[in-house]
Amino acid sequence: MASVILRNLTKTFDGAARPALRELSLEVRDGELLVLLGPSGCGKTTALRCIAGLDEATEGEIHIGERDVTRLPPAERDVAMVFQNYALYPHLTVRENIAFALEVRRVPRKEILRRVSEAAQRLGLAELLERRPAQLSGGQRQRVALGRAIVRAPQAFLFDEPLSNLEAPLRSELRSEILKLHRALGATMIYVTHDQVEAMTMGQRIAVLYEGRLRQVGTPAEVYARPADVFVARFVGSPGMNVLHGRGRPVEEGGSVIECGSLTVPVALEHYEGEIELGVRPEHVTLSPPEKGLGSAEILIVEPHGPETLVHLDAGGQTLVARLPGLLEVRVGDRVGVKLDKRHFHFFDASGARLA
Amino acid sequence: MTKAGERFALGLVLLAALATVLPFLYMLATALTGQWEAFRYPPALIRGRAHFENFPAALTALPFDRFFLNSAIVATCVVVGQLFTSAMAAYAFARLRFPGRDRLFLGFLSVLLVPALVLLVPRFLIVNALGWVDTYAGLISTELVSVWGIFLLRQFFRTIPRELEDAARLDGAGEWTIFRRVVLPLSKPALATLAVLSFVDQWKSFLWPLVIARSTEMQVVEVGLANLHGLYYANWPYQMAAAVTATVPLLLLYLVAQRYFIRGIQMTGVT
Ligand SMILES: Nc1ncnc2c1ncn2[C@@H]1O[C@H](COP(=O)(O)OP(=O)(O)OP(=O)(O)O)[C@@H](O)[C@H]1O
Ligand SMILES: [Mg+2]
Repeated sequence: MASVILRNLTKTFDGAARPALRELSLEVRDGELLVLLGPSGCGKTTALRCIAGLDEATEGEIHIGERDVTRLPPAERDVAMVFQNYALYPHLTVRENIAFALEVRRVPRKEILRRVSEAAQRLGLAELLERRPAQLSGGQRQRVALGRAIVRAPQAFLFDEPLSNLEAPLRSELRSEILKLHRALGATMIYVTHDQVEAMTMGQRIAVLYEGRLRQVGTPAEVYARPADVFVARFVGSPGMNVLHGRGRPVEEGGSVIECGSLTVPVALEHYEGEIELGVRPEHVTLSPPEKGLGSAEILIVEPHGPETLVHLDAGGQTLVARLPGLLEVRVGDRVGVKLDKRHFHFFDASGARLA
Repeated sequence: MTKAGERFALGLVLLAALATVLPFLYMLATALTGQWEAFRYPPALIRGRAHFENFPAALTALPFDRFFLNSAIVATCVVVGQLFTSAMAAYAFARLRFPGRDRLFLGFLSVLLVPALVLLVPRFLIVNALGWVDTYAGLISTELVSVWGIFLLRQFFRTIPRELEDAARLDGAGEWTIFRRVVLPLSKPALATLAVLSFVDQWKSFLWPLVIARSTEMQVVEVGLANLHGLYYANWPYQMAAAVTATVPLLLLYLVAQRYFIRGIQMTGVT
């Protein structure tokens, strides 16, 4: 096992106007499970392919363990990748699929047998070894892909949205399977996903990528509690943070108020003047009678989830979501007052960067 | 499709099948007719008893056993050679990255536009200069590269998901291993299609063997049939008996390769 270090990694595809990755610097510690999170097209796959050596970085360096692998071919980087669509060899049996890498590397036959059956045991594939990929379910195929990766005992594992082709129950089953593998092998893993729930539940740390740039790295709790910019704030959490666009002005008795839509929000910022983005998570929004609270809003959508209800509000042109416990007696079109918990405010400047 | 539409389509297919099979049946029937009955008018498919003796008579009139052997040797060597060269070239054109690749491929394709007849004389001059006239080398060497085969396999290789190649690369496979252990096994339908087409093509080839083979021992079946026509120009049953025999290997080949062949056609959209 080894750490994976990216330094100023930039990738511009031939003929592309904008780079798919821009100066990505990231350190994945030895034995860590790091989740690379971002929306579709942000460059997650590109980052993995550069680490694996399948695409060549335009600029920057990649180190795996002690070695600079930037110019090494994939075979010499000693990393394993699990693909979204499994990429199993259709003409080989499960056993042959798992053994392929070992055979290519001329591992002695006895050793291959031992390692394949060990991997199969670990992943519950022992009964399926003689089948071909076409005769397996999606979940079984992805297990085989995992087997193909672990049998090599590589320096690092790369997962490219490995569960996104599976249905929900299977997804959570395999999720815990991967976590189990991570603990058992103490392996360095980089796990790509666009699903922020997956990211929050799996990652020891999360790296949020947007438009080819790294926006924030931190533990799930850090990223959730202190998003580095508006994009991260909106992207992480389900639903994401409410970000209200407003104007701040100082008030005589100290502090400032922010006017956003129909809400007038007193905040603890000293003498703030000008445009500002006010972030507040849905769980820190509550409803009150219309004449109370910071202003009034109209209910747009009510989503009862059972233990909680999501209420989408329109406050003078600014939309926000409230997450409220239990089932509520509110209806679309009602006017209500809005309260925000000022202990959980986040401020971002007009460019989206976090203030303080 | 509606019921009526389905019936119409079925009728059309049957008609086409009949049009294809009828000449063959006529050939078979003629091969089994007595020499003089064949000229009777109007022609009929079934006429009196079957003259099976036409077959041994026709096939021994010239040394057809030798011709069959020659055809088989030439066609087999060409098939093997074309599979080898087409697969390697097609892999390079489909998967390797090198400057000018696609332009080079277009250049290759444009060779398809040159009629074979135009190449006949220059080819002959080269083969003659090499001293290969009237040898297997002369018959085979010019056929070892097939632009059409390269095209067919390149199109097929391009349909193989890139991620399989990526996975193999990460598994430690080099270019050759990817080619041999991933791409080729997945291309069996296309390879079988090419093998059948190129075998049939060689088996039917006439002009080149006519030019290159001088002695009787080097003749191939197709040229032998033409010579038979020269010897027995009025004996249609003999000629047809030999012609029927000449198609038997092709029929057997189709039967054996059918499974792959049909899949290959479906997968490549080649007809
Ligand atoms: N081979 C390529 N040639 C040119 N542009 C590419 C290539 N591969 C990816 N891109 C571009 O690079 C950007 C990042 O793509 P990438 O596949 O890394 O996104 P992603 O984050 O993996 O998205 P998704 O979640 O949809 O898989 C995209 O704008 C994409 O169009
Ligand atoms: Mg991707």
